[in-house]
Amino acid sequence: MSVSLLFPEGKSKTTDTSFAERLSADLMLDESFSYITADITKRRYFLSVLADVQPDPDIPLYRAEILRDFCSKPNLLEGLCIELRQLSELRDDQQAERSRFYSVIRSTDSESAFVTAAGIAEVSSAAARKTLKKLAGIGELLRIYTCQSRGLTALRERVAKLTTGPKFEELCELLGHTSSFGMDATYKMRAELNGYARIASYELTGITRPTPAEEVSGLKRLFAKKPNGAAHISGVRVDDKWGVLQNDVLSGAMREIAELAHSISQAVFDEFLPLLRELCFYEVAAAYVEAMRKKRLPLCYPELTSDGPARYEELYDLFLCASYIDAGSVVPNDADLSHGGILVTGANNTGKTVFLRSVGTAQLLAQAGLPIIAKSATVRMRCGVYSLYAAAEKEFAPGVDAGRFEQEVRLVAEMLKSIKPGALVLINELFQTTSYPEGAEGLCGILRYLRSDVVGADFIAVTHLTDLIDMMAGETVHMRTLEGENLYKLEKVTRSYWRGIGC
Amino acid sequence: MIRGKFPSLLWGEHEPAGEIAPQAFVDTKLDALLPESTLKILALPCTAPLIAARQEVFKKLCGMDSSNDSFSTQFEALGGASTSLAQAYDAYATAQNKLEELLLFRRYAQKYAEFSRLAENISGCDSDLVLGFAGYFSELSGQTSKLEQALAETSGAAARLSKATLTFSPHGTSLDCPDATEPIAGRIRRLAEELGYNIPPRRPQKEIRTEPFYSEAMLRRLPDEARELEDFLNKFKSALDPSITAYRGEIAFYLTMRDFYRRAAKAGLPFAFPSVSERPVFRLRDMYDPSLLLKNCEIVPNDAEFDERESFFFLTGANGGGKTTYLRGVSINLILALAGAPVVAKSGEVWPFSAVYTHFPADENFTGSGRLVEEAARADEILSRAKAGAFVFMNETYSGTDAERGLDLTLRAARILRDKGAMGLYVTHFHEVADYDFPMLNTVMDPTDPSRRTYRIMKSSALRSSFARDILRKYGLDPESLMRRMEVHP
Repeated sequence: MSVSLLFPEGKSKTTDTSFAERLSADLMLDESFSYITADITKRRYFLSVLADVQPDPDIPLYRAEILRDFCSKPNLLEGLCIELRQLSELRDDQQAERSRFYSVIRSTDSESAFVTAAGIAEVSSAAARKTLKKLAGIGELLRIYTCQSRGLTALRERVAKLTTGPKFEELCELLGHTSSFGMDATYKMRAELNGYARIASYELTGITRPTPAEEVSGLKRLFAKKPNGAAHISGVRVDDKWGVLQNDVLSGAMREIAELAHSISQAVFDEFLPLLRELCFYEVAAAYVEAMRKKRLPLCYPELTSDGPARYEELYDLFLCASYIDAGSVVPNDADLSHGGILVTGANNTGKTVFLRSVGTAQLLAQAGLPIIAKSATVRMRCGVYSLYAAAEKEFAPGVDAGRFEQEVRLVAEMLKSIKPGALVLINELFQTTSYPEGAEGLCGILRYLRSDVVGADFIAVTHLTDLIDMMAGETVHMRTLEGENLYKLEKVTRSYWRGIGC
Repeated sequence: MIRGKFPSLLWGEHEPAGEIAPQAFVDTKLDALLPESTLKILALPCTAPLIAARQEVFKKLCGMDSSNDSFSTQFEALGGASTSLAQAYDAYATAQNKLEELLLFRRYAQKYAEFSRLAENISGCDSDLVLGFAGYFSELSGQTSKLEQALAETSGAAARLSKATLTFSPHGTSLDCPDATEPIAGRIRRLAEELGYNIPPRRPQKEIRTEPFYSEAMLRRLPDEARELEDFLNKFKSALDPSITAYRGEIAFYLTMRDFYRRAAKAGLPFAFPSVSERPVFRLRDMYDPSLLLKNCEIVPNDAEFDERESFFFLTGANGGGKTTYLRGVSINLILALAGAPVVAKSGEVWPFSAVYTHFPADENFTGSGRLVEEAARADEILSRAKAGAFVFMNETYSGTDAERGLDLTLRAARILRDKGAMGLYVTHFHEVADYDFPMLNTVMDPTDPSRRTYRIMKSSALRSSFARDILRKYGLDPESLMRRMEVHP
């Protein structure tokens, strides 16, 4: 049973990530984390984990435990990364060596098959032994540091199971035994015919190497008389004059040993090298924690609920915090998102989209097991987060078969095919590329459908379609951005306010 | 012992009613749907009693008669046994040394006994073909028992001759009986698995043919066992008739066709057994072109009706309206019906036609003579060979010339065929044929959108009208559509 540092045992579930790339772009996540980690590969992997929204609340808790371990023991994170990188290099070396050997085999005549098969068996056995020793080294590293998290504890126990005890020693010894064959040895084999009278199974059962006293080397070997070994042979003599049987059967058995040794190395690589990628997530996460702490911003692990309240106290936008040198100038907002449908309105450049982005980013960070930039928070677990942002003109390249409005409609239709109850939909200025009354009517129908029992999703919609406010009165919460002294702040709007200003 | 003329599961005592030219399978695309061995059998149309007998077998195999599902299972097992038997015989027939001969003969005998036993016990189908087959093997039951007994008695010897310990040393190679030492690779695998490494299962090794020297050494090491198998071979060699292996192809035909219908049923297509008529007719209701299974596209059903009153039709209509599909659907279903197999339709009626001819446009790969000459040559051959009792399908024949000449040739061909008493369907772009004394079929267009094809073929003209959609409704996102969705899922 392999250990994942991202998912507790057996809890990994494939989620719909078809909208992940769009969500990541709409929330400007890559831009935000580019201020934290310059390594594009690590960042991409990190963002893919972020966008893979897992509804199980145990997953963020599991990751948060590991992140705390790594933040308190940075040498462990670094050491594991180094060891696993070396394991990865070992794999690359072994692959290169096998490729070289197989290219030799292709150009070798069949009579030399035994020699080349013995060679590849020796190399593969030695490589498997080296891989096992490297895994034992990782086990040693995990024993040195005492970790509290379930993930790192499970990893330590798993590696210990694979690399300690007499069976492990015996396995290493056997691989050492098959790391050296010779032409002078006596090979004993078991052969079995199948139903078609073909030799279909042939396995090596023993190798007897000559004692040093029997060994003849150098030129003497050419002229030495063959020892009279007839007395040692049991059974009947086989008249294999040209060594055809020996070449076929023995080389086949050697190849099996080579493949077996290779599969042991491969089993180690397959099980443990994915951890190297998973550690990328923690490297970026640890860098994020470090960067926000340096900027003296508040970080909190939010309380996670399944369908309880959703509130943020002093929530900051990650992009602004990461990109501003003076992060203290970023305006935080309080927000109560417990109602499932929220309309956000306000003048241009007053912080509507920033608010939408800060909520969306916090949702993803929280569900990925990371702390968020807020004083305190209670986050509702979602089974998916979708963004429906107004389509930019640049997306409509020549040859696209639909206008801008139709592209947006198509996007909504695609999302509705995959959305599940409990998802969060972030909508930004959708359907404003048609006449506003028609856009409002269309969007109203879709928002009602999202909130209906058929879909059961929540939404936050930033819009200039003010007709929507009346259309959906009583069905949604309405928030607006403020101006003047309270620029970039949001407040909840009561019905009387709109009546007062004549809307 | 078990020897004699085996009763055929395909033909019984019957003879084919005629022959269908291989080109028909190419034109109808049946060659892409079914293997060549099956097409060879489909190429021989059946007489009325044989159609009925085969239909009985297919009814049981295709689950049309749910009273006895086990026949299909038994028949499948029989198919597996026939394949194993044929393979075992081929292996024995090509044995290259004594050890191979002894072991492979015993395997062949074993498969022979297994097949005979399954054949004897097959039940649940009242077709004369199956009853005759099972009855024949029942009569041989006692002899099968003797063979089984001899096989049991020689199993130990065969097992011992199949295992050995080989020792390769600088002094030479030796062969002995196997010991209990655990192989090295087995030890490595066991330890790795016990520790918890995820090792893939052992892969089959490359099979190595035994050389004569191996055979000689093994027979020398175990002379008693070799003698035992030699006696077995001498006793049964003349008793086993290799012509039994012909059942492999016969059973494979039924099972291949069954799988074909299963595939069609999975795609939502119906299949039915056409009744056999005493008058020349071919009728299909809600018929499909099964060759469309090769594509992932919408399949639309159509009816077909040919009888003595309206025996030869012209089919015209818009490009891409489904004319060729209809032609192919009718022709494939006719070929299937004549083989005693179900038609891909809701119901049908067939008369046992003796021949089916097809004339489809050839690829533009002929050289020198030009398209018309090539088409005319092929068409002339059909016109000369077709007679009463034949069914002819022609697709855009004579399209490689000017309209006037093409129309003349088209009408001439149709009249010749009709006068000879052949039935036929002729797809053509020469709409003027409607002015002559032939019944007509037309493609039907969508009444709401004259540019949209419905792929329906009828004896009437198409209707015309238009439609419009707004973008939201197109994607099912207008308020009314969304409201309906909410009402459907309260």
